[in-house]
Amino acid sequence: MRPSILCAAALLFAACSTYEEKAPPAGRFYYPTGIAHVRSSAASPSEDGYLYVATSNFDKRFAYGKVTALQLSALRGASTPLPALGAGADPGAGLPAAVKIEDLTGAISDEVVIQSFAGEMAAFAEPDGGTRLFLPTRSEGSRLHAIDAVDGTLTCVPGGDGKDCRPSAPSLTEWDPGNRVAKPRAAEPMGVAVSPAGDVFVAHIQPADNPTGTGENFESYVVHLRADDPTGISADSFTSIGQGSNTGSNSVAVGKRYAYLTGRFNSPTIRLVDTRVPQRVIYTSVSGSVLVSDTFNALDTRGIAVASDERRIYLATRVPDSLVVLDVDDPEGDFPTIRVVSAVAAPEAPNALALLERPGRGALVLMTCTSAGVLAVFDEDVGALVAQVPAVGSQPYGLTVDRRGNAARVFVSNFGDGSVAVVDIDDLNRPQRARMVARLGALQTCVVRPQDPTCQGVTP
Amino acid sequence: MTAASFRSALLTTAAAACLALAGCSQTASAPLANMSGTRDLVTVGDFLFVTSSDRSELRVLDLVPPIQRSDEPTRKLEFVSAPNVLEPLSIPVLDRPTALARDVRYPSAALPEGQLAVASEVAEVEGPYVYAMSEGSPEISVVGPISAAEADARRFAELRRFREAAPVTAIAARGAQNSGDPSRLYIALFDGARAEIRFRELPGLDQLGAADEASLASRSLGIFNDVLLPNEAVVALLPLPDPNKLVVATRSAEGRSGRTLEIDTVLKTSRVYNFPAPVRILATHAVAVEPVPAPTDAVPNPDPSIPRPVVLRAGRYVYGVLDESSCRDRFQPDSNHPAAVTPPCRGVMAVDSNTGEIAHQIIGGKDAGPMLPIGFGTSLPTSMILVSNARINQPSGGGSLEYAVVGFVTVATGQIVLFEASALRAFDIQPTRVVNGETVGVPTVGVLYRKADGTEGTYPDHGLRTTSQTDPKSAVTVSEGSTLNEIIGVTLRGLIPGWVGLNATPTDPHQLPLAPGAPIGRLRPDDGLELASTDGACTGQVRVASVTAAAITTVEALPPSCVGRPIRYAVRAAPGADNKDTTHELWVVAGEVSGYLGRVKNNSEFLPEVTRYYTRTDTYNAMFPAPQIHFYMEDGSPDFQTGDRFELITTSGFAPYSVTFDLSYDATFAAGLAVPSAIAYRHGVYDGKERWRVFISYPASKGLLEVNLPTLAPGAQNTQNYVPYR
Repeated sequence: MRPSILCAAALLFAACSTYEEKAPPAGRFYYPTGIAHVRSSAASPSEDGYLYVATSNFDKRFAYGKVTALQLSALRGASTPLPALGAGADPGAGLPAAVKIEDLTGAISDEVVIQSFAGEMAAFAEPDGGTRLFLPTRSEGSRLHAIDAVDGTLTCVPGGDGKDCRPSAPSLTEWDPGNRVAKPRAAEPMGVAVSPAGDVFVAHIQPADNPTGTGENFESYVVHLRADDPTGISADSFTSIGQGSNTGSNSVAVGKRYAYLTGRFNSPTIRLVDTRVPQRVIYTSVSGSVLVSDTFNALDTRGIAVASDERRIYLATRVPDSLVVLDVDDPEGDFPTIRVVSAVAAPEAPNALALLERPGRGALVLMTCTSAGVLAVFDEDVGALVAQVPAVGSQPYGLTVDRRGNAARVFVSNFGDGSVAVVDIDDLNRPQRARMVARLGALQTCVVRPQDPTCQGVTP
Repeated sequence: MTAASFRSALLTTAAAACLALAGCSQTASAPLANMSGTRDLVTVGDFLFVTSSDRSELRVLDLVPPIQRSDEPTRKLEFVSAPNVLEPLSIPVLDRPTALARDVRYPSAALPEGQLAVASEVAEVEGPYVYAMSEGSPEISVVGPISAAEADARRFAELRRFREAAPVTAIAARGAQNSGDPSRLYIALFDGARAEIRFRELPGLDQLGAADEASLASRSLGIFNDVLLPNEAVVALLPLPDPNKLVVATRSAEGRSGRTLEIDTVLKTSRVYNFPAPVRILATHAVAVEPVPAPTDAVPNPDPSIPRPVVLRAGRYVYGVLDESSCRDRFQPDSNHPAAVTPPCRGVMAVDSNTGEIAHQIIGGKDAGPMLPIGFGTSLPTSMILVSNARINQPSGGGSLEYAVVGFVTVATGQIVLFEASALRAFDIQPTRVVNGETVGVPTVGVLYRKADGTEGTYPDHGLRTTSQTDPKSAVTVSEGSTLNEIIGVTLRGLIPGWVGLNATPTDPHQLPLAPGAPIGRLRPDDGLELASTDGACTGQVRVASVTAAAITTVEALPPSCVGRPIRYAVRAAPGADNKDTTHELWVVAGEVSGYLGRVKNNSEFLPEVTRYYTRTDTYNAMFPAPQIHFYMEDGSPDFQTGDRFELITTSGFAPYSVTFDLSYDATFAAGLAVPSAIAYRHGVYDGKERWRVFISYPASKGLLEVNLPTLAPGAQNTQNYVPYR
């Protein structure tokens, strides 16, 4: 733990604002959404890496959100320690209950301020060994935050005062303050992804109307930036992905040539943005003639995951709740062919996806299911869910994976209760052994509903 | 207000509300069951069990309608009520049930073809148990009436919950063969490395309560598990009517591999069913007897109780939905037509359980060969059932008619597709017939001439001949069952499908390396290679000298700027041949759905390289199947330009028996009709009326629809004659 950083953060939140801003509670998360696990740099003694969690401040009870850096090795030494990956996994010995680590103060290495309503989080591995986090927020200004994360120390990009990222985060709706235009703009940015080469793509939910506020002439975009120039936004940063009120997108993944966008609220199930040809978007999938929605007619698509060879894409859809599997032919060609090859029933309200590829075996797909409170595991070899980890928390939203050889530790942000669930898969060839081993952070019940009978005598 | 009076008032209010709802409704609707997650449904006797997955429960619809009120447009069914009769019964089961199974037995499974039987007496019998599983869970719920007493016939509950040693991937059950026999539940497990098939035997309802855990314990199917390979999971189980036989469908390698096996639990043998691809859904049928004939003047009311010959013994055909995941690396780069894939990897096919091979179609008394896949375009089947002696609206109109075996498939674009399972083919709702003196339901073709710039031109005197005044063989002809609804382009010196936008890194200036599987049979000497690179450094055109599976050898050397670097290229047909040339195949023929069909010279007859039938109608000639398209190309005009094309607009004359439903008055329900998940069937006499009902679940609508098959309009969006339940 770094007391000096904590003090600085506390001072920042408490006194450095130009007016009295109510800070989110310390030592915990509040409506956590975006989440990313990053292995430590070579110089760090930590083997567990760092967990970066966005507090979205969804009810705006506080003045802003934040990103918290959690030094996971510090939790190993807590009074109730975070179990090591694989510990207690002996099926014959009886499985221990998940530990609850409510006060995270001792493991928080740093925090920075962001706007409220944070969405997904993406981590870009910089050539110098550092990590740059990208995080869109949907409240005022629809901003994209860039934060440098080096071994648990967070710095806003560009610098500014270093700890309040709001002033420096570019707006995706008012990106040219001197010449405010109705279009292009990307209101309510939610999804973000970064390619290994440093191309950042941002998906947004709310189509832009024109003139602003008229509810007419809607159009949606994907925003493209460079990771090394996260404020360099111009009209050229926006690529139209469709006109009309049903054109918004939720999430994005980046391949070698195409960025893949999911469709929110009856928008096209998937759209491909060509990174080599400016303004080229493929709305259709099979030789330009058949929509994916002509194969599987889901009305709402959320998370997306793409296999490393880009031959297979996974979509989390709602209405109906499903995990949809697509095959891609010629993913780097001018006209990739996409076909729906499978759809399995998902527990209620699937949201985020993460892929665990296995040498010589089919991949595992992890899926948060928000209303069901479940982390589900899909096995490509079986073509079905092979595990449902129940009760990971209230409204599981985002997830990130610490892959360690043939095992994985999965972190799930629980939007509804303010915690992060830790789920271990100690053997990726036995995904049914996935189990929750810890819950990080105090439940936010007593912050949200102090009148709740269970909160009597509790200091939120 | 006292508690009693409060309750009385509550009941009165509730009753009034019920009456109001019943009286004001313009559309028949059952009391809301507040289901969420209607993933699967099965019928058992006069009850329909439905998952309410998100609430970890089952609901039960009573299929015996209450007495119909005179002011109701349609009688409505009701959900079985809870002990509190104001509430529908909820049966708590394992968490998030996604699939159901039921006991099934076939009372005349051994009845051979040709014997006489009455359809209603040889139909399958279900019950008493319903089983629920959830993907990824090791648990199974057993549901049924709480006892065998008649008074308890509507009192359903979870009777047992089993826990297996690994997650359950599939279940299926066989009903008691004789009085006193147990029901047998088959269970497929997968522990991450190996699959195992186990079974449990459950005594009758009157004994289940007293049965100890040991007697109900799951047992391995033993030796049969040895045939399952490492990392091979079981995705579907199907007990055949023969009580000793079980069909098992497996999957491995991300769906690219998988087998379908029939195992005999008495002889301890297994054999492979030769489906052309892995299978993910299995179904079979009960005894099918010769259908009740259509009424005639002589016999206006054919008697269904007269014994008729068995046309298919129970379980003769085992149908499978092919696993689309197996199509990976198998589809042709220029075509999405299902039949273009060899072997098929989409659609529905049947194996003849007599032989284990793909069942053969018989047309006109002759063997027409193995059945063709029954396709659904690119849409994804979500469930399938087969029903013997079902009565449906005739595909071509004219009222309802009974068919020996009808297949029902729900697909993920909202349709319910019916097919003639006993004839191993799709129904055609546009059959060939004469209407007002005109033959309809046949394929058609129209032709136009389009210039290279995309504008339509005056039809030329040269090129593709459209009339056959001098030679009937030379007219443009199309054939039913192979001609598709599409535009077929015949392009002068056109780009060759499958040879556009390809990548290569040539190192030899006279050779262009090819990827494995490149369709080299489409290339000819003197075809032109059009070269390019992303940075524009490589440009030019060279001619093809020869082609092998490994490389194209060129006449001219590749430009130096194209050697030793990644380039992209396309191949164009004979770019150096003039319009009058008769030695090169300078016209390229390709359909927008069929893909590449072939090439043709001037002054030549065109026949496709391969004619792929997607269905065989009664006019199919097995000895001499007609080509998909046939035409004659006359001499070329000097006015033609490269890229000019003749467009053949073809219609198939075929339309599948596909139905959808319009519930636009209920926007929420209507939106969720996009993806049906399961279908169940029940035939019976209710209120003195014979009904052939299907129930379709729609998880996104959080409900289901009931339809009486003879009222279903084929090929249409049905706006009435259905009843929604939620």
